Amino acid sequence: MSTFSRLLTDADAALFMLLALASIREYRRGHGSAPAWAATAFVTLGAIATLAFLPVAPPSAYHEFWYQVFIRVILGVLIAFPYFLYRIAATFRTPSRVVRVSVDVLTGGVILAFFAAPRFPGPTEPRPAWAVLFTLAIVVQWTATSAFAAAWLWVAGNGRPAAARNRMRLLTVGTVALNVTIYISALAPQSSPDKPNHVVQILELAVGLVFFIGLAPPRALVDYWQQGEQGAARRAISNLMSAVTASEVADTLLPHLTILIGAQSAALYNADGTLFASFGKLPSDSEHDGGRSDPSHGILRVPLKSGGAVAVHSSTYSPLFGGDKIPILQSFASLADLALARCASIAREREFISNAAHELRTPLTTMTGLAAMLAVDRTNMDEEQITKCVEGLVRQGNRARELVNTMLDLAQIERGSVSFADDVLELSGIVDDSLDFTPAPSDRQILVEIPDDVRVRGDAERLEQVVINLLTNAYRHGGKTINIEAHNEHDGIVLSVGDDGDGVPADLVPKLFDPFSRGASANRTGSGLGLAICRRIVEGLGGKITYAPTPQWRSRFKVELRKAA
Amino acid sequence: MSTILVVDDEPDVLFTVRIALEVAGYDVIEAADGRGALERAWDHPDAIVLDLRLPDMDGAEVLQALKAEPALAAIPVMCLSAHSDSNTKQRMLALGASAYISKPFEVSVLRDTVRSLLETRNAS
Repeated sequence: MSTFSRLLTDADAALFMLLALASIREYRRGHGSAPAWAATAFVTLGAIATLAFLPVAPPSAYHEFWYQVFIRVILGVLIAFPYFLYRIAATFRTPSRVVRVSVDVLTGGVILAFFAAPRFPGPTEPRPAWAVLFTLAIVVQWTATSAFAAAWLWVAGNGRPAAARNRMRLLTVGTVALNVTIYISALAPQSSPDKPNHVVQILELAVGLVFFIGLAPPRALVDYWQQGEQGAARRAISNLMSAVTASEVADTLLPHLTILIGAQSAALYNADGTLFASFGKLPSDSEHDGGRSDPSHGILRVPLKSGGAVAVHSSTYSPLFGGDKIPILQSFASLADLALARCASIAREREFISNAAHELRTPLTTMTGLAAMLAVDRTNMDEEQITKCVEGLVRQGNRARELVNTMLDLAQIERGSVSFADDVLELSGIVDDSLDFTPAPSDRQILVEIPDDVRVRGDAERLEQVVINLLTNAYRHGGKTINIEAHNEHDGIVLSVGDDGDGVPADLVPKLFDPFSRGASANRTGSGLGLAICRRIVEGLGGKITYAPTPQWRSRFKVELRKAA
Repeated sequence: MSTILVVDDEPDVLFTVRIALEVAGYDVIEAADGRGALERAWDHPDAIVLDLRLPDMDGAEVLQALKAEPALAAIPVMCLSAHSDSNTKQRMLALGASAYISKPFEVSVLRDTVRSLLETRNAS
């Protein structure tokens, strides 16, 4: 054998063994059926390549047994190879039952016949009719199965992300090229084992390379393939960041994610696990299970900070061709988090503006109405009516001013442009001052239980504002007795303001501290911002305010404050 | 002289509407909530100006109750609402309201609307 031939033979064998190792590595990385079948197919091919190193046994009596073992192993794995390729292809898209049964029967039949066959003639012996027929059957089985696998891989690649599609197409090309190589090898048999056909050897090398690139493409090639998708990803990110509602986030995120990951569908789940939005066909049950992660069924789920989750549902092939997409999914989930937080903030602002406009309507209605009447109908009005109009104007003007001031105050606190003092304060003094500012109506009784030595850290003016707001609420909506109490709790001080009224309606409790939240039956005095401001102030002071009713004080607010040492 | 029932829980809005209508020559009776409105409706006012946000009942409920009572169903009702969206307006008109104006309203629009309600009622 010439040096060149030897070199080619060695290169072929080495390449197919590398291919086998690469397929094992892919399987270890991803698991799943497609990588398993790929590993089986290419380990098979690698094994054949290794066997090529063994000398073809001369048909001596001594070697006859080993020759038969050798030929059966070679042919056995060779028969099975296109079947393994077909199984890879079938994991991308399940073929029809007729196809599945035909391929199984054909391959099974050939393998059965193969093992049932008597001794095979050696390379130099004449071939009996059954051996010719059997060779023909193998050719038919091999060609048909390979052709189907190749076509199926190609078709299944449509609509997949570029890298997956190109890898699948390379496997197709490799499969076709392998068939062509085998035919050439069969039709132009080498004149002697020592003079291999160079064309066949070079073709084998090419087939190995194509399979190898398909199975484990170099990073640079993958980057090149993904250029278009990276552009799409950039556009998706830009769209995601300009979305202003959660629905817009879902509409932008899910289709792009589905394409980028090469998934069948993608879905966004709410914090309670219910489906918020989806793109593509979801697997059954995933509408209700919150997109639980199940890698063996191609479901990948990334939780969001908001409590919800993004899940992509891909078929089982995904680990082989999409393992590199998991970081993309995680990146997009992080972006979705940001976008959703931004949307929530925008929604809150919009709601605030809408509520603020709504609240201003009442004073505006009265002021414009009264002013218009004074301007146009003054001569038709008696003195009392005129006086009432003017009083109404003043009252509503004050109300509008207070509302605007309160809203500005809230906005400033929210913006962080209000600085809170950090003084040592005697809580009883704060409560006394608050009661002086907002004395109880004559029909209310106030109980104060605050030990003199209870000191907290905070801003006296802001803390008084909190107590005044809570007192005002109690006067407006509460019962006859109002209880103000303070005690040590853990490392802090708890100040509670409660009353024996009916308490806050259950449906209002979750939104109690949101701006403009009011019970349906609440009278409309006040801005609806008092508790929202209380929460911002208490949080600004490093504390916490909660609604914590007790059987005695059915409406009770608990303010946790920092204890002064 | 026509009598108008004005229903609103905001004393100043109530007062504004009252003065606006009185100066225009109408008699005004008042109610501050839904139940009060349904009671005063039996005084058979010529029209009702109904605020949709009331402490005890939804304005739509009051409207439905009025329209469900044969003796009161013919009284034209004008809804007054802080909601300016067309859905609320369409809903109220579908429930039998004769007119809908949103706050803040102009006194002249209020008077014109009441006058046209009364004219329609008298013509029919």
